[in-house]
Amino acid sequence: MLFTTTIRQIQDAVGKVSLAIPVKTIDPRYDNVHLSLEDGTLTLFATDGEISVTAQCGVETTDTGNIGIKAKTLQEFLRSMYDTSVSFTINRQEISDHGMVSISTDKGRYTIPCLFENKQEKSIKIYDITLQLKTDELLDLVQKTIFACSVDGMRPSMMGVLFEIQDTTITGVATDGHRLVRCRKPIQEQIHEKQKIVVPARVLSILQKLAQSETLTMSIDEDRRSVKFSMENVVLEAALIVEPYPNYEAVIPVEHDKLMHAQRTDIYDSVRRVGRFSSIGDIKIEVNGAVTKIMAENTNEGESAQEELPCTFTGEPIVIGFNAKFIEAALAHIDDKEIVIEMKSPTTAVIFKPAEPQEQEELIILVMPVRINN
Amino acid sequence: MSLRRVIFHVDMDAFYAAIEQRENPSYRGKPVIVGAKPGKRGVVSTASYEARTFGIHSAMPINEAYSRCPGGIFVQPQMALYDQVSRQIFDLFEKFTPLVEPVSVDEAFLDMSGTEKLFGPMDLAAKRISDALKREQNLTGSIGVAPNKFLAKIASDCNKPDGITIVPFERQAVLEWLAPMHVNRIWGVGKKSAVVLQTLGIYTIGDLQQVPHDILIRHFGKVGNSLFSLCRGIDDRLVETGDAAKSISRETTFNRDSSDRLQWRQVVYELAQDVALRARQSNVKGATIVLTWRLSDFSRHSKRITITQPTNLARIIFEHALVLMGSVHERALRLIGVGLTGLTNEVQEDLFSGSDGQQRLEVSEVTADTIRSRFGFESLKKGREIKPGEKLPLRMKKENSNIE
Repeated sequence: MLFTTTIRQIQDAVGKVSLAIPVKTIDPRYDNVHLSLEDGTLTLFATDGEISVTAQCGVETTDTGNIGIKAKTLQEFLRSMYDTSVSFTINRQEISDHGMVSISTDKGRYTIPCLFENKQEKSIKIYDITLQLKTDELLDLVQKTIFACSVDGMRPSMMGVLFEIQDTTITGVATDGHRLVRCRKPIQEQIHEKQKIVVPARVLSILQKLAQSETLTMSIDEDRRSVKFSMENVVLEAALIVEPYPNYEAVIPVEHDKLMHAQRTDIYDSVRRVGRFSSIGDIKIEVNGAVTKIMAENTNEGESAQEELPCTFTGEPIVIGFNAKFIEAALAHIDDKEIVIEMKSPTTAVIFKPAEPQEQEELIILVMPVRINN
Repeated sequence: MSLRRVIFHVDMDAFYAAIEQRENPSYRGKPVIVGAKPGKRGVVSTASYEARTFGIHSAMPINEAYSRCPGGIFVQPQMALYDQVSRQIFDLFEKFTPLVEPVSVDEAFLDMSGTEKLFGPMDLAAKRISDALKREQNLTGSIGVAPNKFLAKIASDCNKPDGITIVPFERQAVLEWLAPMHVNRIWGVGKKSAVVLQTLGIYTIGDLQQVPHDILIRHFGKVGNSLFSLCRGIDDRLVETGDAAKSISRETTFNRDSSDRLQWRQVVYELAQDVALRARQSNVKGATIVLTWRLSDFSRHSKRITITQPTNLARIIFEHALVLMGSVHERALRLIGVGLTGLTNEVQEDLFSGSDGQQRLEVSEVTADTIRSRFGFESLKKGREIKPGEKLPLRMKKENSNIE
């Protein structure tokens, strides 16, 4: 087997498929990048058993064949190289599946072992829903929701983003039980029957790194167990989370009697500064009239902080405790300058949203308070 | 700041063996070895000073100890008794200062700063503690007196048994006092670091004092900072009392090393119950669950998992501890412990607490606390807690069919 390409091209393809390879694995099946030469095209593939990435790389060849190379070895070699033309010559050892890859460049010869493999069987999944999406819009939806996903393995359904697709709207929802984000965006296609899938956060984080083309195709298989994102020369395929997603709509409060308008960056900067003074990361927000007080203390070290900010507030005065990090994260994911904070009581969810919703987007972020025991 | 504090480190002498000698007058003056049974696998837990003259020391294989001293008195540990004595000793320490930090069952740091008017100069105060241990417990301890924890710990080891060592309080004198000691006396310098230090030609703390800060950072990273301070006798850590508990933990030592995973699970369940109850009594919750285990060679290992919602519920602690237990691949364990850290008394509200049974679980465990506080801890048990052949309380026998 012989093919010729450039370091930059193959490095780009190997870098993409390697995203599917887990950082730590004890299963050697998932250590390799699989290379397949067919019809003058080099296809690279890697998987962790749940997520797989396939990428194409432009090569010059007339050969066919399939091999596996240890991803780490190949990646480290390519990373250390400069961009130049490179030839891969693969020779099989006699009476063995093992072989050697000889890599030749203008300056050197390098040899790494490989494993000859059978041709990868093509997926027999039937994808009955296909959506053509603007990459920027989908990535924006992912970016605004993924931060709220749970990392607690005891709540598997929350370890991903719920996508609800109906009519001409796609809704992304993520929660870890303490905060919840719901972001809605329009899509081109019309989906009559409501579709609900939960895509693992890791898949979306890989998608964020892979998606570069202007549009991409999102496909859902007929069993609602797999999702596929197809982009230019790259396909990301993954198993969906099948555990039922909690009834998130039931926890979004519908009535709030305390409304506060404020400048997003003012509150964000203040929470960041004051939060540093807390021993366990909690802050108190007191709203009374046109002034918001943000307070924190570390009684162990005798430290404390308080800032006052102007705001517009309607309703009875209120004091609520929050995890400062949750507030920071919520505010960091709203683009608008002015925000509305809707409150009801010190133990009910508080809603953060843009003061003037964008035409093409509806975003709300819920944060549960911290109950402060004295 | 550090030189103004007065810190005592009290280390009980051959604690387990000394208790055995106290409880059994016929053992006194004889070599007593507490640990596994000779002829079986296992190691020495504690050897009395008489046994140490035969070269016997902690963690030595028990059969080697036996071959060195076949006439010795070999006894198996009575952990419940040692725990009880330990509690009494800590009560005694608290008569001298409220700032007592337990290090283990038989050693503690005492912050004696500002107690001169009550107990006299530091040497006299140390003598008073030493005398009280003898008078009230008939046991001896070695005491290190120093301006900080690091120096006090080194000092208590300088004059064992039943010794009092006072470290100089002037900076230059501290440097000179430390200089001839081997570098491995410094906390954090293990075998690997000692080898690295030796390759740099550093054998004593005095050698280390000559090494510039940037060289230490280059070779040891962040640890280089603490090496730079400790070799100069600088240690600003406070004596941390149980009042500001950072963790709650319980451990069980098996009578003999256990390879029965069902028994491990049973013990983990009981420990989780105990830890959860203590957390609820202290009105705190913890976000990190720790599983600790000891092997027959006394080596201690632990694994931890951090959850998003701090808890004080036995079931949650148990379930996570079980997950951690899944990664324990040892054949047999000597001890298992369950702990809860990252404690807080502030509760992050949960959006779905009502829907995933969390609230119901909380109510059920708090109700169980109420029942147990009235009728005793044993009055309420889950089916998994009942050991085969265990005699059930009368109340449970009648309602046997209801047991889970």
